[in-house]
Amino acid sequence: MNKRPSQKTKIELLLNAIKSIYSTNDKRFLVASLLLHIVLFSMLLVSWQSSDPVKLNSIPSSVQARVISLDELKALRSKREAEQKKIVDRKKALTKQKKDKLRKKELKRKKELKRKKDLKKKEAVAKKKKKEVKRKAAEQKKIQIQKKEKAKKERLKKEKKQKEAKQKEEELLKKKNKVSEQIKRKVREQRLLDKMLQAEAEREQDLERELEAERAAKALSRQQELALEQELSETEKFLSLIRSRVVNQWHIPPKSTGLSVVLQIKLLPTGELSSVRIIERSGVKAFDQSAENAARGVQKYPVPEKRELFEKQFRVFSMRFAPS
Amino acid sequence: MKLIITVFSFLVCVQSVYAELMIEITEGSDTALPIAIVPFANKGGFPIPYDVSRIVANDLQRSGDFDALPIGKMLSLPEKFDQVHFRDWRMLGQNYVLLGQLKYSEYTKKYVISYELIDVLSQQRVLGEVLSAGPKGLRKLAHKISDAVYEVITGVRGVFSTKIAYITLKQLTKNKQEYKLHVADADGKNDFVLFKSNEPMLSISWSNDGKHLAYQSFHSGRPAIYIQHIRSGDQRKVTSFKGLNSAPMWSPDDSSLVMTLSKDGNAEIYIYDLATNKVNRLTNHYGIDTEASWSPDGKEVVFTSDRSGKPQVYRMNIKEKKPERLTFVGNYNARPRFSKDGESLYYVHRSRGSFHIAAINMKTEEQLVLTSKTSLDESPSVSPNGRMIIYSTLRGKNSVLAVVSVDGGSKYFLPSNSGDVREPAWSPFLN
Repeated sequence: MNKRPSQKTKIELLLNAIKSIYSTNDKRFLVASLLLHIVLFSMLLVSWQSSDPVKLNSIPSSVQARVISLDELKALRSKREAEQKKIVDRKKALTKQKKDKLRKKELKRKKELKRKKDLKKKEAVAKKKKKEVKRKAAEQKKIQIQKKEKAKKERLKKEKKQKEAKQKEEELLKKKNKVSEQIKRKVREQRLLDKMLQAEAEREQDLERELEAERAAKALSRQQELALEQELSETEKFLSLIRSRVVNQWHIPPKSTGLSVVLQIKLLPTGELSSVRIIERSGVKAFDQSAENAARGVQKYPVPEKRELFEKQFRVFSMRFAPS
Repeated sequence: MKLIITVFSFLVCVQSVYAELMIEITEGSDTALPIAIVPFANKGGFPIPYDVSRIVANDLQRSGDFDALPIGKMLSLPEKFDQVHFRDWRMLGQNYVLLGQLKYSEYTKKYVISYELIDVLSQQRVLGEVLSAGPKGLRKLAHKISDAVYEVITGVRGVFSTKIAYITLKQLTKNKQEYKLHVADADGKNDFVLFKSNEPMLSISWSNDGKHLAYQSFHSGRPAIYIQHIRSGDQRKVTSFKGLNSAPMWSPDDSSLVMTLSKDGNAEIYIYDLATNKVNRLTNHYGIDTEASWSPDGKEVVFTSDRSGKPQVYRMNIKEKKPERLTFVGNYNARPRFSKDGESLYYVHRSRGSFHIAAINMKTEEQLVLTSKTSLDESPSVSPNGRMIIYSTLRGKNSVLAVVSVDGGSKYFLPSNSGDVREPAWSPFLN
């Protein structure tokens, strides 16, 4: 009976063993268990964040129990503890490694973030600087325009002032001149009055002389007039003779009433025709031709012997042919 | 002082006279234009049926506008321009010289004529042509040269190639007469009889296309108006109303005839439409209205009427139909005919018992008697260029045809060997 314990005794023994285990190492096992859980959760969390999947060791689905002695149990327990400790240490090392990696990554990310932030900041600063430069340039320009306007206004003002000054000066000069002119005029008037009185006295004497001169001029003019009349009558005489000769040569074409042609005639001092030219056409060729032929038909034009009169009147003259 | 101003003004005037010396020529010579028509040289010596240059000379001489130099007075007979001695022609007082050559071609059986018209005063050739014609066409060709010369010198188209129509009367026996309707060249030559009858014929009128004649004839036993085609001789009776059918005259567009009819009881003026054969009465007066003719624009007619007691010329607008008397000088003015430009009216005017051809200016109403030296002048007909009037007049015992220029300046008679010649009518331009 003592060698072979009953089933009830076996279970009680196991429970007691377990109880003893728990009762002796209760606190350390609890901490280890908690740590393990934390590690597992951390790994799970890390594996969710990381791209590398976390490989978990498979947990045996069943435990094969065997009855061992307390020493064995103690040896086993110390072995297990050593293994447990080893696992925990490895896990700790792994966790630490991962933590370091995470920290490094975080550090890198932060660094990158910082760099970007710095870059943005730099850009913002540059933009601000540019804006500032632009604003300053606009301000400068505005200032320049204002300066120019101001200068223009000042110039205009200056000119106006100058003009006014000039006007004033001119008015002053005018006034001065007027006064001076008035004085001069009065002096002149006085002088003229004196002269008039003197002239009045002399006029009587001059009158006779003037009358005499006028009589002489009259006589001279009459002579000139007579000479001109003679010249004109001479001209008229030759014009009449020429007209008569041309009329005799002009064969007026039928249906010429209302037509008119003007010819320019050039003569030689002998009365011969030098040239004839149509200077105003009638529009009817036959009519123009008839007039030209009439002018050409006169063998010799009657012209004055006086060379001067010939040059004046008959060297070149015009003839208008217009049948009435 | 005044005197000085006067003298100065006078001098200024004289000076301006000097500057504008212009001789006004308003009259011309009364004489005709001298022209020398040198006999055309016959190159080859082939006989020539007509003396072409002589026909040209006669044409130009007859126009009254030219005075052709007799051949005997010519100092040389040049055939070409470069043979002309201008000094000689100028000495002879010639303004123009017409010269040419004529040669017969055996191959074409035609005469080839080349001619040149030379202006002596400007020493330039103003016209030149080469023409050809058969022996029968030489006369026509000569008239063509005359037309060209006339036109280039005067600026007016020549009428030497036109025709005339007239009627001759021959007393066959004491009671029998022969009337003939002739068509001839404008110089009276080359005539042919278009129609003949023993009954009277009167009032010839040329259609404006020159293809037909309208006239009055009694050959059917009663007065009727006929139209006859000149080339074919085809004759057509237009009207033969009861009473008078006389004095037909073609309208300017040849669509109708104006005529005298007495179908309604009295001699009145009617327009006969040749397309519809309808008549349109223009006058309505108890006096005799007759011898109507058209104005050039076809809007008016002029006619003779004795409504005032004596024959006088009246004018009527064919739409308004209100007659207006035009002649007041003398107690006989009849047979009016408008000038081609419508500015003058020619008619028969009686003065001191003689009948003459007279003209009235439609603007100034000035009257001019054109034929004072002949008597019994009648039937005036104006040439198509408006320069000449052909009419019949009494010469000796016979009636002959005469031509007078519209200004009365020149006149000639057309030779005839056909007894009495009367009722002349000048054709329009035919080409």
